[in-house]
Formats: sequence, structure tokens, C-alpha cells
Amino acid sequence: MEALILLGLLATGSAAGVLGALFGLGGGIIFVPVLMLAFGLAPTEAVAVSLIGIIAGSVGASTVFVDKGLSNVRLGLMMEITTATGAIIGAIVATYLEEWVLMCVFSAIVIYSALRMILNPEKVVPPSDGADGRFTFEYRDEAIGDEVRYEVQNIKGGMALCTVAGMISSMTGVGGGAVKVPLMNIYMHVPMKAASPTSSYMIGITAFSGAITYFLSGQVLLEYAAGIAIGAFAGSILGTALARRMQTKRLRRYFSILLIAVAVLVLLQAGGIL
Amino acid sequence: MNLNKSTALTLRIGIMIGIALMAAGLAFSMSGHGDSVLYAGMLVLIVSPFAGVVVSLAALISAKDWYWAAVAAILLGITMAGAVAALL
Repeated sequence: MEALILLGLLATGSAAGVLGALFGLGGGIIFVPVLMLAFGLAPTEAVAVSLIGIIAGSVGASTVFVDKGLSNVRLGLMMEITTATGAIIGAIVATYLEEWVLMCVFSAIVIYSALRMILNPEKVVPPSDGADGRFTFEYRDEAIGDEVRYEVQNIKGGMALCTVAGMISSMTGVGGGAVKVPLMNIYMHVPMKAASPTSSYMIGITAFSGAITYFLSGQVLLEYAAGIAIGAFAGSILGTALARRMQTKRLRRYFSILLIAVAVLVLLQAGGIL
Repeated sequence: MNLNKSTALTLRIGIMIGIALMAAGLAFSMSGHGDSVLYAGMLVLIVSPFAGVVVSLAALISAKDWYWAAVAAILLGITMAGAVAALL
């Protein structure tokens, strides 16, 4: 492999790793088009390499977020059940639906979420009567130097919507973070500082099944995947440092802008322009 | 056995070994002998999130936190079923 290509892979992985750790996104929306357009990989090769990068970014960020209690492991495990189930259903029904329709639906949901996050301030529900219920959690917000306690709301509805997020994700090939983070933050009232690290943690588990399949069937370009993975790991460590110090309001605003950019990218892909 | 600490430690061990092997593999590949090291590193990296769920389940069982242990066990079953189904 040429040194210039390796540097390009490391840079691509780092950029996606930073964004992934900051906002709880997998980075597939960046990896796949860049690997195809800039590095000339075939679609299947790009998806396989992308999954390795997604796992490296997710695991790298989670080593910090889980350790610091920012990733809500219990909630992540629970939501991952319906997300994974939705992904399996999505893979089965995807053949019966037009991909461009799904991409437009995805973009509409993402733009709606972005506007809600821009227009409405974050609503965190403190534990009722100060008691520790099954869905009461806490984390330390380093930006304000204080503990934040919150009670997750709308569990059943959130789980059901995660099934839809998993379906859309597996049908469109776009990561579920862009749907799951707003879902947790807007609908389930999980603070943004916990929602995006929880999504980061979940993304690695979601990507596992696809990655191991591509890997064992020999479809992963090892050198490309290694370059992307090393970059994503380094980027994720930088991203976690930024995320821990960033104010919630600023994090939500940047995330909303990124969501709109993701929606535009997906619409360009749906229109065959990208 | 703290849930967060043990899960984070598992993920840290996985990514450190995986990245170290991949970096070594890339260096060896310049001389045309790095594929087996790259392969091993990537395998370690890929199974890390799965290993994290296994350790989370063990931590929840050791804490007798049965509700969340059941959640982790169900997820483990679905993840394994998904991987096996995809391989078939």
C-alpha cells in the first residue's frame, strides 16, 4: 500500500472517529462514499471496510464513555434488543421496497429531529420523588462539574421506535445513530450528554454481525480496513475528550446541523448524484 | 464486579490488542508478510463489542441484577442468532 493512500485512510478514519464520538454516529455515511469516490473501492468492499471503522470508533469511544458512566450500558443493552430485531426484519423486507423511498423517509425523519432539537430546549426529567427506580440513572457532567440524575421516559414507545430505527438502518445502509440519538433525547428525555455516548456504545454491537460476516467470507480488504480502523480509534479518543467538555446546548446545536448535512447526503445518494 | 468498569476494561483490552496487531500488520505488509497479523488484529477488534456484552452479562449476574441480566442475555441471543443467520 502506498504511503499516501494510508495517510488518506488514517485521515478519513480520524474525521469519522471524532464525529462519531462527539455525536453518537457510526460514520458509515462518511466512510462509504469517501471509500468509493476517493479510494475507488467497490460498494461491497466499501461497506465491509466501513463496518470495521465503525467498530473501531465505537469501541474506542466506549472505552472512555462507559468507564466514565456517560454511556448508559443498561439502556443501551435494552434498546439494542429491538434495534437488532428491527435490523433483521429490515434485511428481510428490504427486497420488497424501493431504496430511494426509504432514503427519503430517513431524511424526513432526520430533518424533523434536527428542527425539533434546534427549536426546543432539552427536557430532562428528574427522578420522581427522588427515588431510585429501574430507569433512574446518573452521570457526571464535566462541563458543569456536577452530577446529573435523570429518569428515562416512554420506554415502551422508545423500544418500538428503535425497531423502526433498526429497520431503516439495515434497509438504507445508513447507521442508526442519526435516528437513535434524537429518539433518546427528544422522546425518551435522555440528556444529550448521555444519549450520544449510549448510541456510540450501541453502534459497535449493531455492526458486529455484519462485520463478522464480511470478515469470515473474506470480503474485507485488510490493509484498507486497518488504516481506517487505526484512524477511527485515534479520532474517537479525541472526540471523547471534546464531548466531555462541551456544553449540552452547543452539542445539540452542532448535532442538529450535522443531522441536516446527513439528510442532504442521503438525499443526494437517493437521487443517484453521490 | 462493577458493570461499567468491567465492560470498559474488556473493550479497552480488545481495542488495544486489535489496534497494536493491525499497526504491526501494516508495518509488516510493506515486506509482504503482514496479512496473518492484520487478520488476527481485525478479528480481535470485531469481537470486542460482543465480548463487552458477555462481560456485562457476567457483571449483572454477579450483582444479582436479574432484570438487566435477562436484558443482556436476550441481546446476546439475538446478536448470536443474527451473526449465525448472516453466515448461513
